Amino acid sequence: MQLADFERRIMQGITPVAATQDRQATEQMLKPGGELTAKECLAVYRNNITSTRVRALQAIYPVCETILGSDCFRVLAREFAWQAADACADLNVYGGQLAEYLGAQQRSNFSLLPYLKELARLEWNWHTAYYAADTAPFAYQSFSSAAAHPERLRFTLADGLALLETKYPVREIWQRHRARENPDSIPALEACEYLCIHRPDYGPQVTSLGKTTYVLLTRIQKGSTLEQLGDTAELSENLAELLPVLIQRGWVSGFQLLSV
Amino acid sequence: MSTQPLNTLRPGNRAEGRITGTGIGLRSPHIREVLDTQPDVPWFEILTDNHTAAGGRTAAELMAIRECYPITFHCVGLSLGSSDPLDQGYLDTLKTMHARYEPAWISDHLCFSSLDGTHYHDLLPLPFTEEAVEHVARRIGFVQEFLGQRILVENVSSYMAYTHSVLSEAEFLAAVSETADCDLLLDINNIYVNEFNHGLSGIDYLDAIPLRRVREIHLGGFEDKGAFLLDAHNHAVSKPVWALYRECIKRIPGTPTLIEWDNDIPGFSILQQEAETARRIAAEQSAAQNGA
Repeated sequence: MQLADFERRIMQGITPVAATQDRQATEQMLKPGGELTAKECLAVYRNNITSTRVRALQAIYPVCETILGSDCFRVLAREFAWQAADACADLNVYGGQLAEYLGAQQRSNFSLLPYLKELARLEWNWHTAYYAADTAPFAYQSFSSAAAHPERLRFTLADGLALLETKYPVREIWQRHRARENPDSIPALEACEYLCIHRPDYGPQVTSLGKTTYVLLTRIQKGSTLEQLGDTAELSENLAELLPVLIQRGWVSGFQLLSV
Repeated sequence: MSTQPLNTLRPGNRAEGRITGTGIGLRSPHIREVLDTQPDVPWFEILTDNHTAAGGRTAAELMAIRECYPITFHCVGLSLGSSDPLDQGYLDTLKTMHARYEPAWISDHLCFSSLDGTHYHDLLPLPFTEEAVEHVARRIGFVQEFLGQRILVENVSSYMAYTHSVLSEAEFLAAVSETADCDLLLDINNIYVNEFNHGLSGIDYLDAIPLRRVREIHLGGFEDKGAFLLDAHNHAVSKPVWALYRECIKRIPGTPTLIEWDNDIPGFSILQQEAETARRIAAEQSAAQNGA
């Protein structure tokens, strides 16, 4: 048997969703260690892998875990651990799809927690911001000549900066849980809240934005040129005032000139 | 606990010096304490995969540690035994980190931890076959060429062996290291765990591997599950592991040794006590050999 097939057979025995005959075929390949049976050997590795992924999720989503309760979160995390893709050796990039997974659960199980998906997105973006690259100083000197070509000038946002439009008061929910304050009686939002998750120094922050700032940052994130940013009346009226502030904060961290 | 700003720490000349004596595996709960108190530890081993962040606190703390101490990198993501292609993204990150932090060496495990594009974050044992020797040696060769240096390959503990295997574990480790021309990181706890789980002889193991290739020794603690020993790295080093270490250091005196504790991490002073025990055993063996 070639090595690739061998390794696939081993993983078929370890994966929880393996068919019984596949698992039995794997068991035949084993010489169990200690006093374990072949089935128990495979269970040790299955448990190791599950535990590592669940611990990673617990570290990234502590407020979701608090709200759901440890036992419930652990059950969900164990299911997620073997359903979601895990395509990177770096565990710090694992678990980003949990928000979508919880959103699917919401529809069936957690009707009293309609904000869960948005909360998970906030926690994921917080986690990503923590590990983002540091922001280099804005290149003001070369910017003045680049700004002469607004049709080719595109801004870049700081690494790890994320934007969220939320229907529910997840920022307030999240902050109160982290501060161990009473999370009861958080009023519903009258309108959407717009959030920017960013990291000015060593610790990420969540900042509430006005809609215009959110729209501007979103357009920059999607690659609009300086000329295109001035397309809409709302942005063109505020661009001259907002852009320097966003640059000074480090949220707009650089620019590029597109080729002619 | 002190929260001395990272940019006011003892200024730099980057810590030089060879890796000698007994070091400690540095884990997140201890980083601030180490930076604040600057304990007398000759070197630290860093879990590379915990410090891949491009910026922020994690990167700044590692840089501060590096300014004060020599370090080595211990990886878990190379998946040297996998039949998947080597992860070029991971290799690129490793090379960048190597240039930035200048570890004395880089190590990873003789196992596979990924397959068909999925990573499992566990150390899955390989079949001890000639095909696997050639395959792993080829990949180690590529990694060494890419990084521009030899790497250390560590023996892993396991809870299953395979009917396909035609070599012993020690023969397999020896063949891989000789074929790849790589160095070894010898984990004494893992040898003992496999001694218990698979009935092999730790002493025979030591005598079957090319000890001249061992550049580092790991010592850690297993969890006794009754039916088997689990390599949980969550206990102090056990008596039989200390005994096997004594046999090992007798054979390769002066080999740098590392105390490894990854889970249920105790206070830093406990790790220092473990390191002191290792130093005492190494010194006793050295004295016995000099007196002989």
